[in-house]
Amino acid sequence: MRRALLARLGHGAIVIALVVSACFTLIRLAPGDPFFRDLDAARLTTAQREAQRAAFGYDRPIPEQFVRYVGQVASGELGWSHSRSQPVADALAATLPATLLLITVATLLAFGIGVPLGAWMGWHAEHPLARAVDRVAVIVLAVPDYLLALLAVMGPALAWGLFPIGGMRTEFGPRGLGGLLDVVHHLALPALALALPVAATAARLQCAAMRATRDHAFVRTARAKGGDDRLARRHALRAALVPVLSFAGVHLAVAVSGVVVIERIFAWPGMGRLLFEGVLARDYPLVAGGVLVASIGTVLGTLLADLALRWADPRQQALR
Amino acid sequence: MTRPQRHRVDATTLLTVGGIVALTLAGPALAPYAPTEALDPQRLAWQPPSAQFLLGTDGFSRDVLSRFLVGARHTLGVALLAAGVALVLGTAVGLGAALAGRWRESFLMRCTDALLAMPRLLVLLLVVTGTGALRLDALALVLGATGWMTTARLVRQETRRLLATDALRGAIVLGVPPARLVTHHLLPALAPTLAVAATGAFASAVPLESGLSYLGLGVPTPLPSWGNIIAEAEGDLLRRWWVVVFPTAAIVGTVLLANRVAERLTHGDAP
Amino acid sequence: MSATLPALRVHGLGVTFAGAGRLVLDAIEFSLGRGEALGVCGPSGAGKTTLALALLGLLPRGARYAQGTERHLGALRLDDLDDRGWSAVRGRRIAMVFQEPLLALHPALRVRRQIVEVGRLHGLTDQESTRRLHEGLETMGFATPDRIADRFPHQLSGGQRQRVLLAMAMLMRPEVLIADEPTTALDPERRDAVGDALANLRRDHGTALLLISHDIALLRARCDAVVSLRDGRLADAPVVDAPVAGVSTRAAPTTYDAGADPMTHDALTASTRPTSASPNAAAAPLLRVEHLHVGYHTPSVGAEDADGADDVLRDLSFTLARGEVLGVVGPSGAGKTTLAQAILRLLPTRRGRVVFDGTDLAAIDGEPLRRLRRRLQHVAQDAGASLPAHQSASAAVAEGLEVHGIARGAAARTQAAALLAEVGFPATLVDARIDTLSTGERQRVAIARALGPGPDLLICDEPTASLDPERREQVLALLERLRDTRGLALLLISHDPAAIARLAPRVLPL
Repeated sequence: MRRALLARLGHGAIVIALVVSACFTLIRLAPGDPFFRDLDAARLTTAQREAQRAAFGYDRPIPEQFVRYVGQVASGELGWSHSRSQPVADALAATLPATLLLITVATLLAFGIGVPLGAWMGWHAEHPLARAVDRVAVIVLAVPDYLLALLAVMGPALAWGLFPIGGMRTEFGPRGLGGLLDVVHHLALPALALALPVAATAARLQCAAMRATRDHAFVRTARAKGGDDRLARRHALRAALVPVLSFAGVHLAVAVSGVVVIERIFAWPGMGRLLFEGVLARDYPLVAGGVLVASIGTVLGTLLADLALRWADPRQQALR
Repeated sequence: MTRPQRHRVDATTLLTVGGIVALTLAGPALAPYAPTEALDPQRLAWQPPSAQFLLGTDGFSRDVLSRFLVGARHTLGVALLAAGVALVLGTAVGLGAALAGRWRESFLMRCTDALLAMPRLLVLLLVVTGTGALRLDALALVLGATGWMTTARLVRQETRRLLATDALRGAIVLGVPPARLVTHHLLPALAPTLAVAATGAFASAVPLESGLSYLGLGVPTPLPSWGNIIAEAEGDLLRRWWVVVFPTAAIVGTVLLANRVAERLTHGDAP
Repeated sequence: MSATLPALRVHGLGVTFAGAGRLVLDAIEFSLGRGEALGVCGPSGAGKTTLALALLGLLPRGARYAQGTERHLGALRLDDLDDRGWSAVRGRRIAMVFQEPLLALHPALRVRRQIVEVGRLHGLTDQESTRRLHEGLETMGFATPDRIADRFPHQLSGGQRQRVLLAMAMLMRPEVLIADEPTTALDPERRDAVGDALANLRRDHGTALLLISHDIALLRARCDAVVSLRDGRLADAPVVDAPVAGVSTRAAPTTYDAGADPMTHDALTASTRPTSASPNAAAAPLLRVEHLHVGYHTPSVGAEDADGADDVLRDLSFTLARGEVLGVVGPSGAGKTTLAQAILRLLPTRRGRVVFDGTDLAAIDGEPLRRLRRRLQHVAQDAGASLPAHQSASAAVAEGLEVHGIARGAAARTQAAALLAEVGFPATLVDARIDTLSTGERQRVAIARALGPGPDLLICDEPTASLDPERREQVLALLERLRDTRGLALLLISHDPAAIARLAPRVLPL
């Protein structure tokens, strides 16, 4: 068991290494280099420009640049954001907590609703309500996330004024416990918008898995032991978690993509909104840094989900 | 020898695909007005749907119906092309992985995993940051280049399964070389999987393209796309509902249709 | 029969499945007293497991009990029980050991947890449950109950799982214990241990036993009475010695119990003498197999039968000279097809070598291996399945010529047609798609295809199985002709004594 665990961690490390390489490639592929940006171009003489390039190692052979890059990334040095006049790492660090909060709450919400709902749907698969919910889920999934946010969620906010329209806090609002509640109030809609598609997929996956598992022999054994319907359902669910946990690992990449649009719509001061502004300002280092951080985060999240997967199904000793 | 029940390409599938392709090609011809023509900024801006303008007009007094139809070509065309690119790349990687030795296969799949871990929209944003607004074909290419991974996984899995079947084993024993194995034996057998993969790639490209266009980073204005038509509402959903409702319905409808097709291909007629 | 109330009494039990139309169980009637054992045998599909499930109220969705069904557990009428009632009864007063242990155990929970749960459900303290757990496992022959209890089901062998299920069922000392094929995965020693444990349960706790098995000998040995179930009806079981048509203790006709296989016996006596040494040993043999070990690939981790004991082929050695025919015989499951696949390098070998005309097959790969295949061809057991379904017969055969550079295009097709004619394939069907052909026709195509590259050795896997006598004769005549005209060496895998007798002067038994 331990060997398989180490193998999984090793696998994660390799993936991170490949992600870093991919980011490096994307950075090197950028047309021009930072020293030809319009802002700086006019002010530097050729000699100065060459000196700058040498200082940053842009005249070195590619492998050496790569090593340098890895070293920089490892020490948290992600370049300079010219649109914000601060190091990329600082800009990202400032906004990361807000995004993490949003994603964490959304994920908990999504699986907290999706898994039980899906389990119920699967257990009572013939029930007309279960079928109706499934159809709703399919439609929800067909709607692009930004539209979902706009229509299903912004509508109630704008029309009924139940929730604030944007931002993370009320300006000059309450602090302390009241401040916390205020944040939650602001968090509700964007988290819901982010969570909906994930919940829909989780529910459908769980439903399918539950439908398959409820007819398995060991569920019958639970009854034969003297267990009631609840125990049987618990046993079935316990064995049916694999697909949804697999999905949990994989969904992060999509969720992070969704965060960009959601943060923009709800003016949530997170990394997504920061990166979007970076795109508009053609701030390549900033956006590249964001891609790197987001990707590594996704890999770590997938790793966590994989560990949960192992707990759920001890047979998953070796992945493929 | 019985053919398996699934993997049957039926009439519904062909009709759907045909419909999408037809709309893509013929759309602009059906448009009553030029999509970028501002007809009368003073008096005809923000007109709700009427007999003259079936889907209303937008802020620049452009006919929304015409923009919708031409936008269909852009949205669907880009998505189709992206799906094609993803299919080719994904099949190449998937086949290569399944036919290669353990180490090469492992490496290829790790690369696939790594690229899957990178949030697709963010990568697209990065590209747009570097290049500025993309031409339509470049956009499709980039979409495809970031979306082949799921196809690769599917193809690899299915190829591995096929290689263990009697028919493939028989071909290997006969002495069929790898290249011919791929062209004469594997690809024909992979056709259903490829159809599913292509449909999935298409279904994921549509919302992505429209999302980018919504953000103003996809199809370059003034060219229409369903996404940037919706963006014109600028959040004013109730008063400018016609630029939101119709493109939304179209996007949702397309994705639903594509998913249905994929499901049919995978499961035949039984759920 | 005892004077007190019987432990289990069944009267007029009938069951229908939705959509089946007929009665799966029909008017079942029997009575089981305290401490008694009743054996139930019968062909598969007769309804034995359904009977067991009916007694526990665990029939699948869509099953219905017939009018007038009466099931009595002691003084309790089972037919009237609701869910709560059943929960109190199942596992405590009446317990069951299911047929497929791997599927019956929860894959994600440890053995300990699953067994102790029974105690929890019926009011035992965990301490008491654990004590009984240990006791039960020890009774079942486990030397280290703690280690077993800590494992997951997939980490145990089939026999271990079966015994775990028994220990679980016995935990609450039920009044009635139903065991569905409880000893199939066990070796004789363990089988006795289990039999003894069940006997003790009967004696010490008065448990009544309903034993379901296809092993009539076991039932006769361990039960007070044996009945047979056929098409949903009970009847007295036949005496073991006379083989009664219909009540079969064997599986379907095409598989054989090891050791009692009359066909192998015939095949062996049909040939001169079983030997693995070729009479033409002086000349360099075409094929030499040395100490070959080929194993199964089990996914279980840390299972009892580790490394080697699970091998299909064990230390196999033989030689084959050019133009010679060697028969390979043995009961099903002995590894005949595995041997073919190992020689063809479709399977990895654990140990040993396969040397074809001086070349160690494990030492080459890629293009050299592919070129070598030209001389080593195969006609699979399911010949039709190994052909490309959508190609025409002609194309399939021509492919063999094209990939080895023997002929191309029109020339290839002409040669292919000639080959097909040689094997007796009708000329009119030459361009027909393979999935439109009959089994016999497909087999001929497979043979023609294998001949195309001009092999020195042809491995034929069950060439006459599933053919009627006339076709069988044709195929055998064909193989004879090929052997004579092409000097083809044949490795003939077959359980058909006629085939072996006719073609193989030597036989290799597996």
